[in-house]
Amino acid sequence: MPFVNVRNLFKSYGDAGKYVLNDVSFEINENEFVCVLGHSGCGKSTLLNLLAGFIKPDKGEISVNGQFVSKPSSQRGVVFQDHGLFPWYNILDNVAFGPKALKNKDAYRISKRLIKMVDLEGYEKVFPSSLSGGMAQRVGIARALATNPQLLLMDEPLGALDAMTREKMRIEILRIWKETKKTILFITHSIAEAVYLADRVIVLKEGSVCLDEKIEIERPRSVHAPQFMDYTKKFEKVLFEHDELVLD
Amino acid sequence: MIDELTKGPIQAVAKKSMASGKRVNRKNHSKFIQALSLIVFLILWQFFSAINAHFIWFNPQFFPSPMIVLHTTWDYLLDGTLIQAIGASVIRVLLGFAFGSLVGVLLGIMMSQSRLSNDLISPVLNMLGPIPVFAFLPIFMIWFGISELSKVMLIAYATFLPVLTYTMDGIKNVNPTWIRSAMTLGATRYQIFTRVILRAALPNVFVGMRISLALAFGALIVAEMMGSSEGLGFIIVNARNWFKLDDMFMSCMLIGLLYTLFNYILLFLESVLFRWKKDGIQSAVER
Ligand SMILES: Nc1ncnc2c1ncn2[C@@H]1O[C@H](COP(=O)(O)OP(=O)(O)O)[C@@H](O)[C@H]1O
Ligand SMILES: [Mg+2]
Repeated sequence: MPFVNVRNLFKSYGDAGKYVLNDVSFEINENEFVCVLGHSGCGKSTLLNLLAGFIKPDKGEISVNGQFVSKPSSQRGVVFQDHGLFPWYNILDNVAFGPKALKNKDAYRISKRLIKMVDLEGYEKVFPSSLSGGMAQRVGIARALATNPQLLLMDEPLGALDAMTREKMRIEILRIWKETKKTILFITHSIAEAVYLADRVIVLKEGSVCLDEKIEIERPRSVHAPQFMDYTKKFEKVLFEHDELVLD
Repeated sequence: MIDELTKGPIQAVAKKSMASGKRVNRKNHSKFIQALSLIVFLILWQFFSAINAHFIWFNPQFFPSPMIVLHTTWDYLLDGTLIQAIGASVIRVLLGFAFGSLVGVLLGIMMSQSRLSNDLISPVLNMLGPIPVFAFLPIFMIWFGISELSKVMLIAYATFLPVLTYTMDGIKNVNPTWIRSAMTLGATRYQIFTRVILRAALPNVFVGMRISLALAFGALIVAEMMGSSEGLGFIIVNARNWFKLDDMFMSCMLIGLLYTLFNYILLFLESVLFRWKKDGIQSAVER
């Protein structure tokens, strides 16, 4: 039994017959880092929202660790593109929100440890409005980890960051993944990001899975390695198949 | 080259502190001009009433100078009636404003949480909303008597509608990502409501309260003018019978001062409660 099991998922938003997700199936193993790659509007966020339990599929089912997904749960942490931190809480209270809601007596100890892990020690009393985008996103990750979820769902968490910060955050996320041994589903529209991060890349196109590919490159990966280029080209080919402009 | 490298960051820091210094300067500058505006206003007032007192274009009693108003205020202060009048007005407006705000917030929460209560209550409010509050004063006086209660209720009524509207608006416009975050963090419905929705809507409640404050003062003065034997509004109607314009001017000034004071208290509370907010456009672009 795979850790995450997505079976024959269909989802539409009201307009009849038009499926945003059309028969999507895939599996994720425990501790695996999977990237879902696709153009904007192809249904990536819809897929993540279904996995998180925010919305319900028309048909099909999702199970995580043997349990069917029917509503949001602290077992599935989510990191949002616009971080979604609570502006009225300082960093410590943001991270402690989950464990406190779950009546965990160690809420603050856990939170402090996580804040240290994302390299923001000393910022506990600071409010989100004075953080940079990259810092806010790291708090978002710490907050999602604070309830000790089995699965971390990340919806283009680096999408709003500048190029330099993105690079740094990629390394950071891999480090956090190795330290925490979580299973991660990471959504992106950047081919380079997917190839850099993932154990496996699932390419989503017009609501269907059109490629499910293991990335067999040793970490740390270099964008300039020939193997990296090969994967990049392969994904470009799939993603731009019917477009006029194919660079190559 | 080395020189430039080492100077770079220091200059940057220096520039930064200069910029914030400039901002403080600009703030002081603006405060100064505002104070000047008031002083010029008072001087012109004094000047014209003095000229009028000299040439007697019209009865000088009808246009007392600031000095005379100040003198009258001093007399009122000495014989104790001023403190009594201000006390009566402040207690009325405080009680009415607090009660009205409370009802507005509670009803706003209720209406935003239950469709049924919204459908039941909002048509009535839409009908009552446009009617000027003062039209209800005689009705309130018959219902609640010519007592304190009718005045407090009128002030509360004037207060509650904007507070209710802004509370509902705040609750409706909570960023859905916050609610989704809270759900994935294991919060219960009740926790989501108290720790996310209400917290997010609170700044809006205060905006509603500041709008209500002006209405509450309006209701206070009208209520005191219509059926009362003390308070700042009473001083105005009472003075009318004796053409004591200095009393009227004094009362009007004091009402303005009280309102300003209350408004500052609300602004102060906001700045303490919502420290977490960015300070808006001021800090977004430097000018
Ligand atoms: N709540 C919604 N109501 C209606 N249509 C939606 C909604 N959310 C997404 N869509 C539509 O579904 C498609 C996929 O959206 P989304 O999953 O957000 O794509 P992605 O995250 O890959 O950019 C888009 O065409 C979008 O317009
Ligand atoms: Mg998206």
